[in-house]
Amino acid sequence: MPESRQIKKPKKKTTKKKASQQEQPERLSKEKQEKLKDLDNFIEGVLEEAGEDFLDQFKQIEGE
Amino acid sequence: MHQRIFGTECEYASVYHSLGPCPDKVQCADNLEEFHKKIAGSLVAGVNALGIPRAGEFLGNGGRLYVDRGGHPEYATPECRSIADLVAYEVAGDRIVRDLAANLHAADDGVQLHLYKNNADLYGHTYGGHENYLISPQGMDRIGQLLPFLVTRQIYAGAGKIMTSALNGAFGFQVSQRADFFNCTYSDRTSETRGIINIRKREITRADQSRRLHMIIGDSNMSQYAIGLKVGTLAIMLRLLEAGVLDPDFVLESPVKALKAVSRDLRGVLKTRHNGRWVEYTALDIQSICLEEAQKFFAAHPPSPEEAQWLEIWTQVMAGLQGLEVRLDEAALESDPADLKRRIDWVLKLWLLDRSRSKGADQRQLKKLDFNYHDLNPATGLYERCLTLDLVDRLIPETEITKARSVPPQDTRARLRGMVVQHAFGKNVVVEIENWERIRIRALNTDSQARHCFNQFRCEVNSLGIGLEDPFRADDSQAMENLHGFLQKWG
Repeated sequence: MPESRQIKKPKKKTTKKKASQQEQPERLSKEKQEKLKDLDNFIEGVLEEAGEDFLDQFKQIEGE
Repeated sequence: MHQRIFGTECEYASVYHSLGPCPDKVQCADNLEEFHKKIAGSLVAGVNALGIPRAGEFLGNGGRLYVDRGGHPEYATPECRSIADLVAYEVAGDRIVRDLAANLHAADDGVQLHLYKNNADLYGHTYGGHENYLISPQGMDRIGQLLPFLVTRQIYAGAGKIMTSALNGAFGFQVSQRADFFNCTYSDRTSETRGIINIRKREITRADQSRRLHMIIGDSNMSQYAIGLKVGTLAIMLRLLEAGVLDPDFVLESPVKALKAVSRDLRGVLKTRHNGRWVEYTALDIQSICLEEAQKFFAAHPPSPEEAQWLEIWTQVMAGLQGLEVRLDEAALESDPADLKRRIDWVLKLWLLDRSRSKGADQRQLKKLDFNYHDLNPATGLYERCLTLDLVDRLIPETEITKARSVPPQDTRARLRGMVVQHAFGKNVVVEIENWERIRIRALNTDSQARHCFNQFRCEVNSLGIGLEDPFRADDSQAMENLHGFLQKWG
C-alpha cells in the first residue's frame, strides 16, 4: 500500500481570499495602483485585438 | 565536475500582425512551412544591419542564429560558465531577434513581425527550448537517476499555458508547455518521438571525454529567474549525480505519465519508489526530497558562491510553492503569499489570466493573452510589459544584457570564436564555422598563385584554421596572433 510523504504544510488561513482580490486598492501604494491600472489598460488593448483569426495567425510548423 | 559549461537554444514562433493581407503569406499561398522559412531567412539576414558582426550562423558574441526545423528562427547562446552569464546571453538573444523583427518591416505601414518565445501553438505543434550541460562520463552513465527531479522541475520552471485546443475546445491550465509532447523516457530524437532524457551521443573532444547532456524537456522562459532556476537547480543536481550520492532506487513508476499529470495537478500523487518501498508522493514532495539531498551534500562539500545562491533561491521557491493555492482546471490562482509571480512564469501567467477573467475576459481572449505573454515586442508583449512596470524581478542588470549582445563570455572558447568573428567582420575574408569546435578563415578574391598548395601537407597559404576543442579554453594568444597576421596579409 503506497504511503504519502509527511511534509509540513503551511496552516490554512481561516478566511481565504482570491489572489486577484488580495490587493485591495486601499492596501496598495499609489505607485502600485498606477502600475496595475497601466497593466489593466494594456491587457484591455490586447483583449480587444482577440479577433476570430488570431488562432490561425499563430499556427506554426513542428520544430524540435 | 565543479567547472561546467552551460548553453541554451530557443526556437521562436514568428507571427505577423497585419492590418491587411500579409505580403509574404500571399506570396507563399498555402505553404505554411515555406512561409515560415521565408520569414526566418529574412530575419537572420538582417543581423548585419543591426551592427552585430556575423560569420555564417555565428555572431560576434560567440552565439549562433539560424533557421531551424519548421522555419523557426533559433538562437543558441555561446558557451557560458556561470548561470548569471547564461541568463544574460539568453535574454540578449531574445533582444537581438526582437530587434531583427522590428527592423524587418519597419518601412511597411501596417505590417509587423512579432516573435514569441513559447513552445506550442493551439494545433498540436511544438518547438523547443533546449539546454546543454557539460557532464562527466560517470554522470552520463547514471543519468536515469535524475528522472524524478526532471519530471517535477516544471513546478517552478514551467512557462504555463491554457490547456486548450483549437480543435476540441477543452479548457484549463497546465504548468508546462512541453509536457504533453513527450512519449517515452529515453530517445535519441528531438522531434516526433521525444524522450524525457535525450540520449543522442554528443562527445566533447576533451582529454577526460566529457559529454554534452542535451535536455529537450524544458519550457522556454520569459522570466530571468525562471531561466536561472531551470538551469541552476539542474546544475546542482548534476553535482550530486556526478558525486554518486543520488539514490538509484528513487524512481517513478511511470515517468512519462507523471510528467503529464504534474503539469495538470501540482498536488496529484505519483507512485514513487523511495527507501525500498513504493509510496505516493506529490511533485512538491519529490522536489523537496531533491532539495534536502542537495542541502545535505553541500553541508559536507562547500558550494561555490553561485551554487549557494541557487540553492537558496530554490529553497525560497519551494517554501513559496508550499503556500501556493491554485485550481488549474479552472485556471484560477487563489493565493500566492510568497509573491512567486514575480519570478515564476506560470504563476505570473495564471495571475494575469485570473485577473483578466475577473474583469470579464472570455476564453478566446484568455487564449490571446496566453500567447501575448510570450511576445518579445515591448509594445505588445505581456511579460515585457510586466518587466517595464517593475512587476517582476530582474536577475541581470540591463547593462549586462546589452553587453552580452556583442561581447562574448570571457571564460570559455566562445571568447575566441567571438573575437574571430569580430576581427574578421568587414575584412576581405570569409569565416567558415562549420561547428562549435572549428573555425576556418579564407581570403577572398585571391588569385590562382595564392591558392596554390605550397607544401606537401596541402596547406593553403590563403587560409587559416583555428581549433576550439576545449570548451574551457578562453585565452589562445597564439591563435589570436595567427589571426592578426592573417588579416594583415589578406584582410
